[in-house]
Amino acid sequence: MKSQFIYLTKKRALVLFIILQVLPLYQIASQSAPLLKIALCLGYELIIVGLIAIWQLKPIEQFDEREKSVILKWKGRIIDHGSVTLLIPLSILCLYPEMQAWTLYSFAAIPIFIVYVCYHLLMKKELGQYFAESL
Amino acid sequence: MNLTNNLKEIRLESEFNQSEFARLCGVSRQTIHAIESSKYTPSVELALKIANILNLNVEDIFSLEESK
Repeated sequence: MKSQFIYLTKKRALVLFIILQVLPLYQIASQSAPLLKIALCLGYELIIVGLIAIWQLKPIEQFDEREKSVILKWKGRIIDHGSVTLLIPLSILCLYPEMQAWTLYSFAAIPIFIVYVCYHLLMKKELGQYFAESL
Repeated sequence: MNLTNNLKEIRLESEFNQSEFARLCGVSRQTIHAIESSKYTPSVELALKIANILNLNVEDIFSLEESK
């Protein structure tokens, strides 16, 4: 039976990246872009990078013992270091209790997101499998 | 004590390439490369499997070396 798993090949990654770039380019180029729109586009780019970073390369049952240990190590680091980043909004809240909710949310979400994406990229680097080898 | 191995030499003598050997061992090519370059210490199960494929004893492939 043919696998239903969608592998990230170089060609697919390139096509996906180009397709996803069309929307923000269209948004910014259509008019003199206000700052909010640029910020939204930057956020959009971060989400794309995040999605590509967490794209699973193959089903978990196909990973061998080394790959599983590498994944376990990096997942552990994500939990450890990601939870530490929660200290940032908590500290800010102590200093500025009148802070708006969305600002506080940004201080909590952005560092965790950066940790999550960066560690996934590092994990894939250590796995030595940025892309599916052959299909 | 560090674990060293001469897997690469033995594998080449047996005329296996990394991909083919990895497939026989049931691991990825990157794992074979990591073992050969001593970046990864295989489990007992994998070490025995490697020795079995090469028709050798584990001690013929892997050995302990005094760390400096």
